[in-house]
Amino acid sequence: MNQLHDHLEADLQKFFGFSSFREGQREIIESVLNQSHTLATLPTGSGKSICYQLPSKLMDGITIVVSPLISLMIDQVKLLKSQGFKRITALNSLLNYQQKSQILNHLSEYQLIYCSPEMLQQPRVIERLKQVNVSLFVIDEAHCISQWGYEFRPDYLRLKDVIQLIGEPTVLALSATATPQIQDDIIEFLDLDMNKIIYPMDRVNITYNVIKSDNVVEKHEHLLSVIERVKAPTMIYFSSRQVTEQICAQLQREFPDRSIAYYHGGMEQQDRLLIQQQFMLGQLDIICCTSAFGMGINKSDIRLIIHYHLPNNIESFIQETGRAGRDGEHSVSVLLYNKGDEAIPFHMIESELPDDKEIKRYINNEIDDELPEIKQRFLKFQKDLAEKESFTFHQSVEKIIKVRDQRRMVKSNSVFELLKWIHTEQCKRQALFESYQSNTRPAKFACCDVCDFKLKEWAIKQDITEKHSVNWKTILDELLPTK
Amino acid sequence: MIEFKTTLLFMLSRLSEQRTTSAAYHILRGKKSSQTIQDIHLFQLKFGFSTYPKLKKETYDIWINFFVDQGIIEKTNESFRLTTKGLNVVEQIEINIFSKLNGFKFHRIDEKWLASLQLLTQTLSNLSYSNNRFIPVQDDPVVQYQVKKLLKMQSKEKLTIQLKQELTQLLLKLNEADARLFVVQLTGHNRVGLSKRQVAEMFHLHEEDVQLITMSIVHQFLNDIQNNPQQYQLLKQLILEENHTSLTSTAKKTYELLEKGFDLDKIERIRHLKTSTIQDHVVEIATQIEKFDITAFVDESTIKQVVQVIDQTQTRRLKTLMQHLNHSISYFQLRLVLAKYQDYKASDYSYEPITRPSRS
Repeated sequence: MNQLHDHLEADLQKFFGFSSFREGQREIIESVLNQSHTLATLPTGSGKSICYQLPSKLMDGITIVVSPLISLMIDQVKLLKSQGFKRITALNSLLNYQQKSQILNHLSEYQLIYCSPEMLQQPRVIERLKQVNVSLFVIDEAHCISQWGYEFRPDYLRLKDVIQLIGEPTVLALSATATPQIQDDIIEFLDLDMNKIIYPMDRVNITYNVIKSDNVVEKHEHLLSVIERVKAPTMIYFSSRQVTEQICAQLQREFPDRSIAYYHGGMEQQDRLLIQQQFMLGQLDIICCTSAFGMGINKSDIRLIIHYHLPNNIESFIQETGRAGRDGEHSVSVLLYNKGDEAIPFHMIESELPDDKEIKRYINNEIDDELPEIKQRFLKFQKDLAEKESFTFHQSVEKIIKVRDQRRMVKSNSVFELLKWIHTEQCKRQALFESYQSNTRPAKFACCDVCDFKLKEWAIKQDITEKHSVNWKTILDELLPTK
Repeated sequence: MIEFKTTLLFMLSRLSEQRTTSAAYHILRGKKSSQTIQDIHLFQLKFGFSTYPKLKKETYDIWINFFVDQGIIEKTNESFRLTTKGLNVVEQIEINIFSKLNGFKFHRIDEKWLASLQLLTQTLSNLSYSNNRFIPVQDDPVVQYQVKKLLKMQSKEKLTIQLKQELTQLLLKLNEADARLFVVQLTGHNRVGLSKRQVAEMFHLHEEDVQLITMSIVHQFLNDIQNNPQQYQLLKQLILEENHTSLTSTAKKTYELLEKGFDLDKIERIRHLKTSTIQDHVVEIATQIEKFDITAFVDESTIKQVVQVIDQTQTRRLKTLMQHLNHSISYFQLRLVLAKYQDYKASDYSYEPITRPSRS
């Protein structure tokens, strides 16, 4: 018999300061609190993390959250600490031996531990986890388990053993981009009896647009004309750091009255922190960024998301556009497409997978460190598998080439899907979500450029940031008011 | 105002024909190698040491290439040199401006002090507006611990008043532009400080200028605080003195063994290190530790002879000096004398703080 959880709203208010749950959150939390293994999908931007953060406060024992992205982990820990959560930490490769030991020795004092999948491969970590009470095991971005998913992570395949080794705590697998096929993969792979809680992926308040151009000049004009009319919090995604900086500088010249900055992974940590917080606090109107930005950002009033370059795949596109309109108000996605733009994501795929020569040399232990981390990770996993099977050199190479080609196909298909979506003359909203859900809900405001929306007629004026005071004494008075 | 361009060019003028262009890069980044530590003493570039720890090689190379393109410096086989045009440009540089930078003196405390000041300001600002939920702009646990400790010592209201008063006192000693440049980088309640790039855009400077100007401001502050500690009861507590010298940790071990009276052969065996490595350590120690006596390794008359050759040839290139000395001593001994050159020179002649090879 399921327990009743009447107190949940009060707890949500107490720990997070929200008065009510968003769609899906309560159902998932109740399932977890009733100790059912759960597979849940919620659209991007709908507060997935509350689904384990609240239970971690209410359950005895530790909640482990496996997350593939270290930067996301660190942002989450920082955010929670700023909200007054104390018993929380992150276990990842950025820690030195001493810091890691410190955490492992005091494991049971934590309520919530973010953990990279690599960390869970270490016998020392597993041994410690066996000795403590893990009550909830969360697999964030659970689609990484599926070999059919774009973001397949070999390390995720080992999670099944980890779960068994630590005594099968309640498992919560979460994703924002899992097709029905991938959902089945997750359950089959984890080999658990799971309660499926599937919420539609589509975002009813976002309007989708594709603007095609014949050359870069034209593309640029389209960009300027949208920015001109939309005075509201805006993100512009790029796939190159250099172009991010260039376009940012141009926009600053074109729109001197707006506050515009750029953000990418090549910046100093301190500057990244400042720019991210400026955007959160509404000190910036427009941020030009690469996909490095936006991990765990919680800004609710982003009105416009522009893709200046093609995202790597359709999943990334859904995730990135999903950062718009978390407040439920009308928001717009604009993808600027220039013929030939697909070269970048295709090139990206090639750079992420090893070529035949690299595979052979890796098997022969001739190379290791000079390969990019992503190739190393792939090769290491495949080599370990081949060794378990006691393959010969030729068998190993043959097998790995086959797996590589399969990965390449999965990834390329995702780019082709994106291209198909760009060129479709059917409803963009329906086309975007048709592989995730059978019915797409009607748009709350406007649907897409095919159905009913004319981007050229859309103008909006929202809180434009104020410029800084000039005098240092005034600034100091504002910072440190004393009477 | 301090500019990156003139600072680098001035440094290069000192290193011209003596070192490669990367010597200045290592100095700006504060590399703790025997070579770099020795260089800043030899060429009197202590002011610039560690003033740009995060300087990227690509950024640095852009500047070097710019100087080459402008015909200000030219690369030679083993080194580089300032052209006549370059020397003219250097002549125009207002050298006094570099007295605002004190890299070697403060490199162990400046960044942490600034980080602590930023976190303390952010914290007190938010608390003044009754907000205790914010994301700290500083991640360093040491800095966070330091600030937390301070916050427990007094009431928040008193601390806020004190911080504002002491900070104002420091800022009043700067010119308006510098004061503003510093203050816009501070974060507080509902106001996030500007990044170096944004400050550069605001003041129409290069990002690299903003780094050096900020450092020079911090160094001026630290000078003032250390000279008048009684006036800065709060801000002086943000100075985190690390309790060891700037010796690399491995050189420090060698130093400890030397202090115990072991000779170099014995230290080699104890530490399982090569002769050349131990010698590197000794040179580093000689450079760093003022009281370290090199006469155990080089006798007084040889030292005198080497100092004379350096004065005559006006070079610090080991190879050239060795030729002039007819290889009568070892490279190790030569490097030791070079490390202490300023001391020996100063005892013979009157001490000149800035000497440049004269052009004639």
